[in-house]
Amino acid sequence: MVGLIITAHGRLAAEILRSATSIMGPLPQALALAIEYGADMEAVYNELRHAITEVDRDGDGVLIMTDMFGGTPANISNRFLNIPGIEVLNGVNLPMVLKFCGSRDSMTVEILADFLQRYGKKSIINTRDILGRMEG
Amino acid sequence: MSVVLARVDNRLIHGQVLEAWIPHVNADYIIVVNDAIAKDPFRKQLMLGCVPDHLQVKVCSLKELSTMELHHLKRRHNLLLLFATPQDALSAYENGLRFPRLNLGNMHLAQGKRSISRTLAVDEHDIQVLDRFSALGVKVTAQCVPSDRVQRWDCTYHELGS
Repeated sequence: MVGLIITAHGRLAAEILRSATSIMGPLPQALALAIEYGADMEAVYNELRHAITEVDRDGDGVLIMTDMFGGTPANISNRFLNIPGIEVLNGVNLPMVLKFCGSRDSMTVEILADFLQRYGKKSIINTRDILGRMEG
Repeated sequence: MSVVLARVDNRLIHGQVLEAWIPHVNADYIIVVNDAIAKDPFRKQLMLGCVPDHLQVKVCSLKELSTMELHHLKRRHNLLLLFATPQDALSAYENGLRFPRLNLGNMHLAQGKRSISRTLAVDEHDIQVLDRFSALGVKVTAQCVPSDRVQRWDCTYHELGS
């Protein structure tokens, strides 16, 4: 089972995980990590390192989802990319996390990252586009 | 064309810099002065990779700074300078990278440091460096993001004031 870490500015990560849990039920081997203002970056790096160990109990790898490419949560996560079995997806959204729940047992972490990147992008929809399709 | 922002930020390149400061000061060239990242090819590559294509970026050590054509860069570009600590900023300044103002963005709280704002914490060494900047005629101000109120470093009380 691929492990999951969501990391973001403020409480966003914990709330996305909480919302996912309320829809899909309990999510094992998944953690949220908040990056607060004024935090020591090396301390956060170590926290993330511990979190990776904790969710990677099976050794199947860990997918880290961050709120924004170029932001601090992403910058710290990216430093783990030299470890095999770690993938980082930036721009987390709820559909992506929900789809993760149903796919984590059947894919390798690399394939899962590719799949969820495409799925997450596809899930961003302007409702008027859908209305247009229904009319036309 | 000049140094449009010289900033102390322990996070270096991150969301506040890319999304708020760069458009605000209209910077087109980022110089990160940091020995640890400059000597680590992997971290350097990660840092370069998170900068959008329309911006130029250089990550260099304090030593490499002295070999750069700083006057030329200042003439050609709107430079945004990033330092992890005030000490790095002072070393760079003394190595010839001059700037009229120093912006304090993020200096994390650690043992032996006291908070002077939501995002800034200082110890005795930091205080000496900030006072030194003031003595050199560099205006030291605190402003985490452009929408924050600007506060000045007060050399008498070693606090932020208006």
